[in-house]
Amino acid sequence: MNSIRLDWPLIIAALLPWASIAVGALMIPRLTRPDLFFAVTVKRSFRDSPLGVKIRRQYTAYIFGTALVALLPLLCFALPRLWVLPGLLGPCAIELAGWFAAFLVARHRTLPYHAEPSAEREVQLTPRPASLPGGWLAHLGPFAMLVVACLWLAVKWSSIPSRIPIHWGVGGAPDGWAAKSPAAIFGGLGIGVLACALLAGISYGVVRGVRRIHSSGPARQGEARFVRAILFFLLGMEYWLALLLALLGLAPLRPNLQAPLPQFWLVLPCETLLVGAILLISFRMGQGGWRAGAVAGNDVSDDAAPVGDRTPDACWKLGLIYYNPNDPAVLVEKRFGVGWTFNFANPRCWLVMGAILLFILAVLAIAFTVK
Amino acid sequence: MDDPTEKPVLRIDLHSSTPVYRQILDGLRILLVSGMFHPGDKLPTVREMAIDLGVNHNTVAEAYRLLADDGWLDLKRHHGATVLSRGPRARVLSGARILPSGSRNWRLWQSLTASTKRLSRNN
Repeated sequence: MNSIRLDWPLIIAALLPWASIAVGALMIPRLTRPDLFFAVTVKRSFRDSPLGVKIRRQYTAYIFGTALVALLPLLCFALPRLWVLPGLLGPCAIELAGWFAAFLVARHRTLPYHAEPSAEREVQLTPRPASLPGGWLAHLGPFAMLVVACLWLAVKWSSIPSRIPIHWGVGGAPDGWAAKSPAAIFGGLGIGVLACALLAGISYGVVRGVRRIHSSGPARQGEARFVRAILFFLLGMEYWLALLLALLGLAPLRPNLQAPLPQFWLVLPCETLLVGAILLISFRMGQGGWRAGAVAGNDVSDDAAPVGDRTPDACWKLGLIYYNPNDPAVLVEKRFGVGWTFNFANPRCWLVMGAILLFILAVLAIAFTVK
Repeated sequence: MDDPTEKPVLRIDLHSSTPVYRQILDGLRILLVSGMFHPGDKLPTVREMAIDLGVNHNTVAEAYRLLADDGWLDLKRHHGATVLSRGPRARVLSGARILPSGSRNWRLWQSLTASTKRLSRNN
């Protein structure tokens, strides 16, 4: 009698992004600021009005339907291992496309109920912190790990065999090999340094460059807690990336290169923890920490002019892309989602995107050099 | 402010007929005159304040420059604005120069002036 053998790493790797996208899409309307509904400024009472509930229910139905359709390539191609990569990426693409379409429909239905935001602006008259939470020492840790791994590999250079693994499958078994060379040995660690530098730069940009929408009271406290939580999450990602790439970088020194990496079993649980952390921050605090502010006693009246995110509705293209040459901010809060997005009219934003593009090109260059 | 640990807050109205730089200037001057800041206190940089208020850098820079010309602030490039020390009489004169009569800020300045004069007589 034949028994069915379940490939659990593949199942988890397939279902985790599918579930994350679906859950995120369903929760986001509840996480955005109460006076922003599908990227449209509205009165705070609109979200829970009969029309607001109807729009949200229709959106939810679209998301559920898209998620079910997205399961098909997963079940038909990925899990039976007929066509793994398209079977894994296809569901994500289908869900994201469906999510975008559902958002546009909901936004279109909300636009007629747009409310004029308050023209009052406020600023707390204290300078922003000059350093990142945890201090510069905490942020040196990931770089130190990668540098130590580099130095150890340099010291043990003669012990490294002529062919080394450079890629591992879902179960930790090596499935890609390259000849011993500086690019093959140090390439991954170099990518790690660039990635950690990029994350540190993003963290610094968040500290110094995001708009403080509220300047006092529970709303301000909620915003500060949210920013702090995001910064610690980014720091956690730096440590995780550095640890993973350092361990993979040291793999050529193992006595048996063919054996699966034992520490690979850490990868999925740690990635799950990171996804769980960002979901927890999002659900507990909401966009900009408004939920934390509400818990602390934010008593803004439903009839007051909406504050929103202090950006004009007209500058949001399709509700997702912000373009305002009169706004000095490089980063502004996302109107639909948790976190920040660029002000594409600010020249500094293009510098940052250029840095990200250079990083991607560096990774590709290293990958092609090694192959 | 009900909470004594809260920092001072500046508010402006983008729909007001008063130019934004003027609102920033008057608002900061009132806080400086009333002693909300101590010499050596740092204010947000021009860029930080411009981002938080959503206005052009030059608008904030103009207000800061006028306060620096009046001797209230010390401006250093990339180091923001530092509050300077000024005597009670200089604060009163400074307040009189900029507030339009009849405005809400004028009435506030009047009450602050009266308090300052009483303190001077007692000393």
